Amino acid sequence: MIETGAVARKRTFWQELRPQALATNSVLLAAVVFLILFMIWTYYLPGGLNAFQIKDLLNLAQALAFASFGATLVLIVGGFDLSVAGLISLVNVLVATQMPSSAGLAFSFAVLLVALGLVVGLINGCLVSFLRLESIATTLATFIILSGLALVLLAAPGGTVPPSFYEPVTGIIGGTIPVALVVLVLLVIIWLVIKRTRFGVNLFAIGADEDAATMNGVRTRAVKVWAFGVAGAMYALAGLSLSAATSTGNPNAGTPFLLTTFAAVALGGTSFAGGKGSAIGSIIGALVLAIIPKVLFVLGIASFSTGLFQGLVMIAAVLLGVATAKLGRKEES
Amino acid sequence: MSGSAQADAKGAGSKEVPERRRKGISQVTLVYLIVLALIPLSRLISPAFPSTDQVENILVLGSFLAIVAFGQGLVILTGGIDLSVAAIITASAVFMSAITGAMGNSALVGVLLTLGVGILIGLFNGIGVAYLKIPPFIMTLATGVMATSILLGQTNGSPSGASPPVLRELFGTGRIFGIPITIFFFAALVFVGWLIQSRTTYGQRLYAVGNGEIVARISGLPVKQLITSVYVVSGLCCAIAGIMLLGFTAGANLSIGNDYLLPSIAAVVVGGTAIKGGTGRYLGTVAGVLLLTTVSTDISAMQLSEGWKQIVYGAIVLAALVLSRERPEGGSRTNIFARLRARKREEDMDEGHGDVSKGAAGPGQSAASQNEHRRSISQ
Amino acid sequence: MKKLLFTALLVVIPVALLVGCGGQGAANNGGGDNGEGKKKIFIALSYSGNLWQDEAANLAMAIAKTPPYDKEVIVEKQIAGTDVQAQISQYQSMIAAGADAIVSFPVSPTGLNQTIKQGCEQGVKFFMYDATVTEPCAWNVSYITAGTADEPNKPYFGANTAQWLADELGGKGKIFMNRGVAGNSVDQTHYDTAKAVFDKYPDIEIVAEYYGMWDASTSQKETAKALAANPEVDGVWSELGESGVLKAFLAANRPLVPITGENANSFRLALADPKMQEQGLTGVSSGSPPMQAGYAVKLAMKVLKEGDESVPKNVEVPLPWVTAEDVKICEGDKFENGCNTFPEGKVPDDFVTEVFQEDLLPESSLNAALKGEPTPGATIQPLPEPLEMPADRLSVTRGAEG
Repeated sequence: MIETGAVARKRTFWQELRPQALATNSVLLAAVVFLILFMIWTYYLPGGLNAFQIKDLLNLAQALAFASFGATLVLIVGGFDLSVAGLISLVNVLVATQMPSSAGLAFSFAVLLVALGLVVGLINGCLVSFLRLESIATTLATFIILSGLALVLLAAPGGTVPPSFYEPVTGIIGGTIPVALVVLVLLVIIWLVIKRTRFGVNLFAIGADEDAATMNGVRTRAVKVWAFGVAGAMYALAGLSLSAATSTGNPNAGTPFLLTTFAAVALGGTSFAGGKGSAIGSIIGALVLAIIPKVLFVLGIASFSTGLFQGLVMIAAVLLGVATAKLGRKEES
Repeated sequence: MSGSAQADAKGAGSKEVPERRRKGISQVTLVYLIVLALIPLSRLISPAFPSTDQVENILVLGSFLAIVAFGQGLVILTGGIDLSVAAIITASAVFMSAITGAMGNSALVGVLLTLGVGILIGLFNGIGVAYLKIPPFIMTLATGVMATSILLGQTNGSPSGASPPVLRELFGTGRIFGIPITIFFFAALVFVGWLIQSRTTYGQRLYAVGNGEIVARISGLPVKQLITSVYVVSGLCCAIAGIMLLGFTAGANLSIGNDYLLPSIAAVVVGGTAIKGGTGRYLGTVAGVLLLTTVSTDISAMQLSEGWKQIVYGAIVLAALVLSRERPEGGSRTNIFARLRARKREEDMDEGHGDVSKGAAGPGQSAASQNEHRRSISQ
Repeated sequence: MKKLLFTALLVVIPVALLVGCGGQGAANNGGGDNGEGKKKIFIALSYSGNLWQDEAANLAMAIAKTPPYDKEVIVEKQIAGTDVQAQISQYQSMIAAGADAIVSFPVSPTGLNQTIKQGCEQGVKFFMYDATVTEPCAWNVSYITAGTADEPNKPYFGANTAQWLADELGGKGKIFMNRGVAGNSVDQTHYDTAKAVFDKYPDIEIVAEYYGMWDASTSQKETAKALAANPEVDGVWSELGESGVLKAFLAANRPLVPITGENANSFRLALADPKMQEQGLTGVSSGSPPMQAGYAVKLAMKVLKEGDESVPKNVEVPLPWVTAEDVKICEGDKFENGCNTFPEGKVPDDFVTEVFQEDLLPESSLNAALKGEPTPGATIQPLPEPLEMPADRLSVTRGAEG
């Protein structure tokens, strides 16, 4: 990354910052991994594939896709955001205990929760950006606080999510197209738009070299705060999606996302050093993580090994990424 | 990992380390002061506090975290992170109880083999990170997930065997002069940890690696071996912690290590180490450990529901971060420590290293790219 | 080249280990009808990693392999993970694989309902052991609401143990409460029913309340903290993790007090140990018996053979109840002649002893619980009429609408 950076500085600053091109490889790779797993799954699936099974799979992957989308933004600017798990728990609990049952009000309430996520994210961003705290430790603290809030609001799993909310969100349009598929496509489009806006370009600029970005007039602090903010909104969407999938509240619902979110991001080829990454990769990473247990099940492999496979797939994906990047570089020279 | 091949090796290697260290002192002192203030303040929470029981408890419970955090601290010092600590602790405790219990080996053989397991897992991490260039976050996350899954498969889910009596005596019930033996271990550990990190060439080299890998390599340091070594040390520390915990609880279970992953990172950062590497001291980490343990002891004595306890805990961690943070030059100077620190820094600074890069170095910034940038300014 | 070697190493080591441990899992898969009319039962764990979970799953496996069931069913065990979504995915896979029955420890009382309902509509029978679900088409087999075998009319683990402690303390004193996992519904039920009893005694003061996570090491650490903050304590009410509570008292050199807990073997041994008694230990060992899982398999088989009506939807498993006087150490690998505890060193300290029940699960043995293998020579014995949960306790496991 630096080699290219050093060379590119001789070109214009902005030309250097199209690392999207660099990330394409890893996204493609993640997609190939997913397709292979998908084919194995459908080949062995008893009774063959139908729209309902795809719907089930996408509904499972959706929350993780939202969460890792958000995490990707923060990682690109060079931060870490552990608050994802706490925010998902909090939103889940709020949905299960407070959401009105009429459809219109339910969806307005959902919008309100996304705004809440945005605010929490902005607070994280301010702490990290203006007080210059370590993002990993700061968001660890906010994660603990948010989880505590969830537990205060709901002491034990329970509450119900109104069917007027979860039925349309988890359903199938016209018996063929799962709503979750539409949502995932929308997410991809959102990412493609974001990365073409000035905000998106600035994200990469800051992650690659914050000082250089400042010199070039990027308001780094504000951009970072908004990166955390948009991420927070995405985590709230993940919480909504999880609530729809489980149709109930659980104060610990978000905890598993603490690690799986970053695993999904890693699978998607986003760099943990900042400046490089793609939310599309992360979405595919989420799909890969969702399909692994299903593939292992149809292959009859002891489910103890799920973790082993997840780990191997992660390492293999990164190694393949490294290898292809190297090949690409050789061809160039 | 980023770095510029042309960066000034002298600037990153020899000058910065002592400077950063001195800066660290006041920050570390501050955390110690917070801990010292918290202990008498515990009185507000329980009339039984402060007491020798309380201090004893903090030291015993803190010792496990302190050793894990030593390994974690070295890894973070080189700019990495180790997410496999929980899995290694658990694996070590379960392995130890299995080979001494079910297979009837002596405690000594058990300890040696268990340390070997920790070293091996660490080596696996280290090779992945240093030689295969897999980002530490991903490598250690994957290793942790895999180790847990292998452990589940091997034990079929249920660990059997108990802790050897020697361990129970050492880390559980044993006392010398009325003080739990674990506390003596803690003291020894702090000394050894400080010695390794601050007083050996090995430690110095790790700072150099953390400040810029490429610079370190150009200066002739065996960077890959050094990076591998910190993961091995971390694995070893986790194995020791696993053995100690086994003695403390007199029985292994597969969740024994879960409490240590995030706190080990938090302790290192609260103690003044930057997550991007190159700074920090072990005594700071120990301060972080004591702070976290004291807070958790105090909070568990509060008559609050679990949710509120978590909120208070999170808020205190946040407050500690804010209080002990490194302030930018242009920032507010309400805090006397920050002012002192800033003055010291100004004295130490040589003219070429301008204020822009120091002041604006955010968390997204690695030391090497700062150097690179400084160069571009001075040109 | 060197790099290649390392890469190969990184991949080969875990795969080798996987082959070592994963072999037993690849027994049967996919196809569906390779069992020639055999029924297909899945044992669906949420997570693995504590003795209770694995004893329960092992017992379920052992019972499903005990003659004549071994000729009648194909059984497969799966572990999902601690989150609801993982278990949803697990159930979906099992339904798609043509399960006839799913015997499961559910990770959430309500989160799985949609999936269970889908399964029921396709004819799958769901049997939940220990923890329960609110979906009406599933069977719950649980001790949570039950009274002891002698007094079935006095319900709830929490209430019974709290009452015992209150009586033992003469209605006054300072106590700790060592709870399970925060935010868990089973923990909440235990706690609420216990708290209701303590609230009746104005002189009983709860000086510390903490979460031991149902494991001995966390319980020990949390109890140690509570002891440091409270120089005076007269008794401890504890969920699973009681052996850790006891160890914390011993490590802190504090006089022992009455402790109520669950069924760790070492706790029962301690209760019966004269040395411990001299230091002040009394207590009762009660709580969740892993044998529920084996019992649930037998009930599932009954439903598969005799139809849905043959088993009521809410089945209670009597609450174990062992005080110091009742502890009787077993000579062999079975609970014979009324023995209820294994000698020291035979099982891990935290082994949950309630793996056996004379009338409900006589097919069990120590080896069945530890290894999941059927007891040699055992055959499935007929079941007594299942104990149906009284209607007034339904709200606890089936939710408000009951």
